[in-house]
Amino acid sequence: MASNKTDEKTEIEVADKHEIDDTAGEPTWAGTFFSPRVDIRSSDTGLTLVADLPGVSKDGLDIDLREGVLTLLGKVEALPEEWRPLQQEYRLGGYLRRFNISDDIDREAIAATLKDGVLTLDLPKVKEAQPRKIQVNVG
Amino acid sequence: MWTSPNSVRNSLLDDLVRMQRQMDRLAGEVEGEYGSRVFPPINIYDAEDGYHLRAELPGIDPDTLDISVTRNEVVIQGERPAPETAEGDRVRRREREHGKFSRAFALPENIDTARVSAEYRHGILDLRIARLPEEGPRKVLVESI
Repeated sequence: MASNKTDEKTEIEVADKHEIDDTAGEPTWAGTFFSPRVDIRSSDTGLTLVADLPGVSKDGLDIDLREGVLTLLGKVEALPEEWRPLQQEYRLGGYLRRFNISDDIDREAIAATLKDGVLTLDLPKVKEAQPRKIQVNVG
Repeated sequence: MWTSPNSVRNSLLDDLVRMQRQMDRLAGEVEGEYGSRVFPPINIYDAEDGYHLRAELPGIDPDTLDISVTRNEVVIQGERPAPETAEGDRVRRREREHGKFSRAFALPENIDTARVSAEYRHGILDLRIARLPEEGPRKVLVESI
């Protein structure tokens, strides 16, 4: 039986997880982390990943790419301790999500923009991976 | 029955939460766009300088938000635009919400509607509503005739 992963070849692979309780191997990451909501769209020239990271400033964001794994880690500032919560519709914590990046992506050309808690990552494909029109010469 | 000032305040806040849920239900019937998740999710805190309503609202132009505070309720309305897509783009994943939203909260009686301020930072809207100064004990003079 073929798995979906091999049927559908994508340049980016997403692991679904809402609350992340497994930060094994990274004991320095204290606190609760959540899986941020993302939009991913692709074109002939590359991928665009948009992630909601409310509360994360530029200084609190860490984007790491190694061995084909892109890791987004966002930290939020704590609220003053004396604030008493009366109603909570969302839990406080950081954001963590990992993506597998294929070799088609030009790792040197990845660009990131963070504005109003929204991260936009541009992941262009390497030239060789972009479709190209072949001119047919009439002999 | 005697109640401490604190428990009076708590019962007001219980009312606040209950009324807010009712209003959300009504709004949800009209909008019905976000399924079971309210958008934006809002936390309410009791702080020294008043109440803080903190909404997770990433990617919003704060000028497009419509916030109104009356004697007994606060309403936050706006729209989160649909993500931009160019022709030929293929959507691989769409988890982020977009569309119109409206949230209403009933307010306790001790708020000062003249002292409300809002700040938008890193995708979080912080609406602060100050409390009225608490009235101190009053001296009652006994007149002798």
